[in-house]
Amino acid sequence: MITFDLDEAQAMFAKTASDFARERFRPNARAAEADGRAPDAVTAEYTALGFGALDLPESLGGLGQGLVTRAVVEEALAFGDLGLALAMPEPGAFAAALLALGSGADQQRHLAPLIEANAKGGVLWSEVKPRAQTFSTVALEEGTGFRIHGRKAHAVAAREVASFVVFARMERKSGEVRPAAFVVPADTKGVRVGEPVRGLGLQAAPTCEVTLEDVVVDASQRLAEADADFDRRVVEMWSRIAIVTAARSVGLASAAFEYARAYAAEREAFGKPIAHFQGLAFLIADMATRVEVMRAVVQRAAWAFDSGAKDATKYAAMAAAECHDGAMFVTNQGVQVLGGAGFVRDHLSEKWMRDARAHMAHGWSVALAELVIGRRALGDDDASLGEDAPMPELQPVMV
Amino acid sequence: MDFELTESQQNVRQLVHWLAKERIRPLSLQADRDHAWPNAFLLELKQMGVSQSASSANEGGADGPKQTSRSAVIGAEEMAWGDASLILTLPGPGLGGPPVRMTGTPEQKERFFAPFAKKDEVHWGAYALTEPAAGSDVAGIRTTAKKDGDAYVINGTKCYITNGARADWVVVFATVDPSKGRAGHRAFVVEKGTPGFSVGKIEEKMGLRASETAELVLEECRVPVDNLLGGEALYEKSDGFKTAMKTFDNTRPLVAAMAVGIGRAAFERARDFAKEAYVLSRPIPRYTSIRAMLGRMERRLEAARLLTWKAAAMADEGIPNTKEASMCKAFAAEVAQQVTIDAIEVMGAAGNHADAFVEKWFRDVKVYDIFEGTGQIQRIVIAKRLFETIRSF
Ligand SMILES: Cc1cc2nc3c(=O)[nH]c(=O)nc-3n(C[C@H](O)[C@H](O)[C@H](O)COP(=O)(O)OP(=O)(O)OC[C@H]3O[C@@H](n4cnc5c(N)ncnc54)[C@H](O)[C@@H]3O)c2cc1C
Repeated sequence: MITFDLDEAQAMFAKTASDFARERFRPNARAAEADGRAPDAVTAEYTALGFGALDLPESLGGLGQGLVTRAVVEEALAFGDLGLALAMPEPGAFAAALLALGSGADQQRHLAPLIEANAKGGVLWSEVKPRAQTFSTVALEEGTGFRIHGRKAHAVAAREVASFVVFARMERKSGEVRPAAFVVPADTKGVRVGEPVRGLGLQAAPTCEVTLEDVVVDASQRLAEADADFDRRVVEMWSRIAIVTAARSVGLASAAFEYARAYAAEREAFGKPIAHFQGLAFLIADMATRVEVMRAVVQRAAWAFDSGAKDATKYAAMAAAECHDGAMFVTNQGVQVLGGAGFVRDHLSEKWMRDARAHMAHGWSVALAELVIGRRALGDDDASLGEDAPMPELQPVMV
Repeated sequence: MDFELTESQQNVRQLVHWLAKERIRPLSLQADRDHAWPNAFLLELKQMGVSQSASSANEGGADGPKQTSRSAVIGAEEMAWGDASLILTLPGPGLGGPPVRMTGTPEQKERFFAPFAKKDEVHWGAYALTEPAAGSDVAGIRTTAKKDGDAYVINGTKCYITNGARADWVVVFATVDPSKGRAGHRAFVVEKGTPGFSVGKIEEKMGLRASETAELVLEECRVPVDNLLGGEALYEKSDGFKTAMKTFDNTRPLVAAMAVGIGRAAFERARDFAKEAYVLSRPIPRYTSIRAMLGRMERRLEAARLLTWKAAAMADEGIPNTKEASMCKAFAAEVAQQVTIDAIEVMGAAGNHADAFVEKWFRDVKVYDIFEGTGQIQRIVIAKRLFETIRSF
């Protein structure tokens, strides 16, 4: 039966997340942006809430909730501050990679300890120097393992990360060359996380370059289970990341919308609250509509994912495109509604607009997501690394 | 959270889709050229049980939660996928139905709905609010009603009335006292053949050509007091304007669903064209921008559909949905227009051909941003819900 209602547990998680984000994220948003990291106290409190592994299997120490629940919580957190939400210690994209590409044993070995320790995980995907068709980071088979060499870019909050999944071009002794994924703890010899890169937005969770120089890993650190259908699994990973990313966009957009609405009801011009003026009222009505649209597509996609629907990837791509576009529209108008006040740092509106543009580089871009949908519309349903994943040479992404 | 259709909704969708594809589409272009649907076909549809509201819908009770609105939007999308003008032409009370159902006395309901029960005949009702000088500004209607003994004498002109000429009766909105604004509005059921009630011109339109759009003229038209909807008692507690507007909370999601249906038809046509005809040697068009455009069309339609479902689900659950109903109507109309524009773009010159369908859907869908409240009016409705203290925009 079609229903958009949250169940009791979902509503409770959402409420807890929302209260926390309003009280702890929102007031710290500016400071975290300036410091390039979350205040330790906020991180500790967040950890105590136990949201980090909300959607991860109970067998791994997670709470066993679905992506629908994860999505409502992410929206609530991002409403407080998206930068801080991204900075929080949680397995995040690392978990998405392990769930999609790892075996049960891989997950127990690499993911469960991260959950147990409330540590942050990361994925190294984009390349500093992209190479056509594949990864330029290389993993050469040597002895009983691999030697990894390369420079990865745009790794979100990488300085806080305890363990990475590294995507690389694997070159085997047999001469076989193919993409593969490796689990590389951040303290492995040869891993160097660079200085935070100053950027447009989301500066509480700045990206870094990560250099891998003669990093030696054991063969067992490779997610070999994925060999048989690597492309499909990678696309599944990106789908999961896309849904979570899109859910955060909803929170970001609704923050900008709510703020603009309240401002328009108070601020006067020509002797009336500015919301009286239709040019502005219609804009705000459109912002409200877009937020509703975004929320609905995220819920649809998360539900498809939770129910194991065949076309979950398509819905994830729809959520990605709709929410990246939507958040940009809403936050942009969010500044517009405030006029000059929107442009200055007294209000968070300008930050939300910068954050939205920066966030559009997280996960699938609008351009790629639309191609993912379009391909499937044309009957080409097979997941493909070249077509469905943000290949580094085409468009670097943050993750 | 759930997006699974109930079994009965799946049946509605399948059945209506079959009908749309096998029976409606083949007649669609001709109906557009003839500016009419064949009456025999309309009768056949009626006898098959096809109506504007999905009759198999669960009304709530022992069978589980009420599904009426949800089932209706699902059916409407499929039918509009076939041909939107047909939905507006299906025999039945049409837009006149909701006000009679919501505010009519039991006797009025029985009397006015009776003709539709006749198995071998087609009958229509209509809804006449719009006037030459009052469209969006519904509060500004100038048609007057003066009480005179056991009747009201109505004077005025109504325009753009769907099925206005063929209708057995028309719900006509008039004012008993222009100085009272909305409080002076009354809704009357004016029956065909009433002296002083006549049909003016039948419009020729850009799209939805097979749907009848008529001008109605009321000159010293005496309408019995019994035809005042809800009786005089009703207007002692609430005003007629609310009656007029309440209709829209129910119909806007339906209208949105129709826009989605037209858009989806155009999207699928363009998609199939791209798959089959674009580049001879390749199943997928070489231009990635075409693929991306198709991706965008599909995702925007899905977004509009979800918003429509949400407004319908709220209606079923008894949650006030005025804001959401306006949101889905405004959004779906905008999306569907862009999709039909893009569909022609994907097909290039072939999309402009009169037998390619998409040019028709491009013409048909425009009015979805106009009737049942223009896109601008929807935004006013939304804004009123967003700013409780501001009453005029
Ligand atoms: C095919 C068709 C079928 C129809 N069927 C029916 C029917 O069955 N019954 C019925 O009663 N009516 C019907 N209508 C009429 C329809 O509801 C009106 O056309 C519609 O409400 C708009 O009114 P209008 O045409 O007078 O435009 P106007 O009200 O003159 O609007 C002109 C423009 O001004 C804008 N505008 C108006 N007021 C404002 C404002 N306050 N703020 C900002 N912008 C504003 C509008 O959005 C529009 O863009 C039908 C119309 C069509 C085309």
